[in-house]
Amino acid sequence: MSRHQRRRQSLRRSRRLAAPPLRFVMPVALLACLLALLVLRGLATNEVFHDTRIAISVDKDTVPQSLLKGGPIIDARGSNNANPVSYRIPDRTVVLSFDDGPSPQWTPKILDVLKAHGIRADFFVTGSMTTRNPELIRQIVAGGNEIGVHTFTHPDLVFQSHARIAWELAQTQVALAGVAGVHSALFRPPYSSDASAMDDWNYPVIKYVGAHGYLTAFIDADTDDWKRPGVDAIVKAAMPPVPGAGRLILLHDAGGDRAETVAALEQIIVKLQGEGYHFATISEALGAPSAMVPVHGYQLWAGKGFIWATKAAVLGLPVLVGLLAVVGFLNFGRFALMLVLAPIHARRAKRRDAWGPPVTAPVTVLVPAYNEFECIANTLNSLAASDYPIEVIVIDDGSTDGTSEIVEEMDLPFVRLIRQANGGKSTALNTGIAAASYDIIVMMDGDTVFEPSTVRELVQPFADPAIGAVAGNAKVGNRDSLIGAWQHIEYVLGHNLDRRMYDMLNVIVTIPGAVGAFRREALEQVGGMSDDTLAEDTDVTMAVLCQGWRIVYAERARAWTEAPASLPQLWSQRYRWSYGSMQAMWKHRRAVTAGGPAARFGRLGLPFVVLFGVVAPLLAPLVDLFLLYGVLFGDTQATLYSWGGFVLLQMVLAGYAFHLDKEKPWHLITLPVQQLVYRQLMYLVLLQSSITAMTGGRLRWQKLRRTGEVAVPVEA
Amino acid sequence: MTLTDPGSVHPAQPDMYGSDTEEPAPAPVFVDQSGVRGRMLRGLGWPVSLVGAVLAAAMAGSLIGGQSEAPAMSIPPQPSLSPSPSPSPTPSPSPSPTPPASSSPATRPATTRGKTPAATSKPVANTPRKATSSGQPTKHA
Repeated sequence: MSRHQRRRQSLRRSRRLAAPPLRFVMPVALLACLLALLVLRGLATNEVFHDTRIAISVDKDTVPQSLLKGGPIIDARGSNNANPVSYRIPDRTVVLSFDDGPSPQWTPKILDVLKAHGIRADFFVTGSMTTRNPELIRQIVAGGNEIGVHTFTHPDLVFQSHARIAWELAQTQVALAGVAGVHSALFRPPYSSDASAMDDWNYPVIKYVGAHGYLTAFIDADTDDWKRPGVDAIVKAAMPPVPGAGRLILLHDAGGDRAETVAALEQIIVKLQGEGYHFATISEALGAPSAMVPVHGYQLWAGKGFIWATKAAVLGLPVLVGLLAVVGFLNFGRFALMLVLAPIHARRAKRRDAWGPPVTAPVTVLVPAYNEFECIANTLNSLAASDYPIEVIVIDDGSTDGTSEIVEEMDLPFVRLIRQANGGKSTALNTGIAAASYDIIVMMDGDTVFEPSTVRELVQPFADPAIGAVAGNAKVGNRDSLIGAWQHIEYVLGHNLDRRMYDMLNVIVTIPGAVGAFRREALEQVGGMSDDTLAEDTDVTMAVLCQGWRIVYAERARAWTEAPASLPQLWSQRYRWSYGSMQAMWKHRRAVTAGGPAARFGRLGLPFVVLFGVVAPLLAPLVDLFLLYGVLFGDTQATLYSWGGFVLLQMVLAGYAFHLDKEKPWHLITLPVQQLVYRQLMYLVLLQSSITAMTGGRLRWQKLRRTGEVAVPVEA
Repeated sequence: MTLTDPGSVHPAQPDMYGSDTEEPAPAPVFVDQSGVRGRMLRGLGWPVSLVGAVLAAAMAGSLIGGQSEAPAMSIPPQPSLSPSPSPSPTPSPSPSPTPPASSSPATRPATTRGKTPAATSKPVANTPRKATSSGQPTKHA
């Protein structure tokens, strides 16, 4: 904003960097933790990496005929990888296999039927269902059944990379280790049927999986039970065409209503047992040891940790979603309020006689100046052009750059110069208030430029005796850089939507130091400016509100300021603002329970600024977290669409604000990028200043009271 | 999300006044002269960050550090089945040029057998008793 700030930048920054990085480490660590939890939960609910594409069968030129005509179990492991072999289920043997589970609704029923008949079967489970239903996996295992890997997220592996296939296998094993302490050597690809359905696309997958040591189990009989063709149809499909031939039957225990499957299962068992079949698991049918092998050590504990963390994530997600809902509610609620109240305010502002008879009495303009060598002449010249009778008091707060001399040289008749030893902006303003000749006091910054009509517009509302202070419209002058444009957008939105809303609710909590006016009586009631906080403008505004005065916004009272032109400058300006605002809120916290004139501010204004100005921005990182999660792991397209929708909504709001302020909308093209950089910067600043507030650390520029000999601020 | 709140938009003068020396004045809002609060929060913050970082790393590890290799499972020679479907190594039914491309039809049994000791070493090591079973070349087709 002004030069000395820039000069001290390096110094301030080195201080910040010298401090322990905890204030950055902790948020990053916690957000990383949250993101990991989100991903785990998304995996459990099969939301992460979800892929529903299904490959359509192609030529089978590369698949050996022996396999196409062979049994359902393909062994492409180890030495068989080059030339896989297949096995059949022995005669008079049936293997029942259930895919896609376990599901809490149907798997227990199926287990009951199996148990009643003393039969063991194979369950090809997905990792995500396993993670969600660990207890069912334990029951399946406890019943002597066999578990096979059916991938984690149930994608068609034909479309997936080798890395993804390996991950699907590994993650399912991690889940199995976590819930049952076993790994499985059996595999069945999603969307598979019998061995003759192997084609040029999925055969390489089988070989790749075989290279990882898995025995692939296709089927002999697809009952199509998932289509719910009726119990009879399922039973019929399960029956062997040649009596006595071995049979590997596919059923499903998840993915929809499986009542028909459960009913059919009973009949299939009875019928086949009647035909002299015996039921076995795949490994039993092959005369092999169980496909499930206990795991120990790292694999076991990694699995357990995975399951625990996922459980915590699934349980904790409602909390996160609840917080996200709070953010959404606050923001959309604010949007709605703004959209209702801003037009009403704009209509009122158009009426020239809104406040009563025109105010024409002269007023005092206070210009506190500290090392404003470069700007003070512009400031005073702009006041000289004022179309309203004014007295200007420049309070030189111990400048060391010859600010006073410039003022003296200009020798303007309406300007009084008061020099004081450096004491801070609040004391400078108090000096000015004491010296003011008139009852209305306008305050501006030494680097701000008024338009000729600014003072007149600013003081008109004082025609209403209930109004104690008026906020003007601060405009960003240097708006043609990216960072300037963002601040321009921010100012226009802040003034034309938020401030109008606060005005209508009669709870404007900040009169910008760059352009505002106070009734002298109101200032005297609150004891003038205070240096208790870093945001003396917010502090005094809240104090005036607590006295029951009304504060309004005069949109045509424009003041042009130079916004910080670099990120570090912007950072330290906002650090000070947000810290100062929080100080002011805390200082006036008793208004919440106060009666009398402070009640309205305490019940409405203060909660509003706390919610909109502190709580919502502090929770805002969650929005980005979900955005990141959605783009990287979830439904990228839907996430981007909803983000685009949100930006569009903001664009519309901003367009409206620009229209109200009669600004050209060109700068709005930077809005989408603003949402990805500036918004984050703003909440980071707020987070950092909140941390400083909590730790009670002293900000360098805080409460630094002058002692004569060291009055010269350290220059970088 | 935040269309900046006007509460924070108050272009105040960002000057830093004065020097480092302070007077015995009432402490400003939030400032804890003793530093106890800061020390306490830092004392809490570090362990919390550490636990957070470790948990995040562990969760990330459980997502990328899994073992994709299946456990060994040896399959004994399958008795009766082979005769019917394996009249001869597959090549005959497929005179098309493609199967030869897979290089093996005729040589397959030999190759497989030849490879067996080396390639199967892992299953063998794990389940020695079934060493031969992994050979199973006859089985297929």
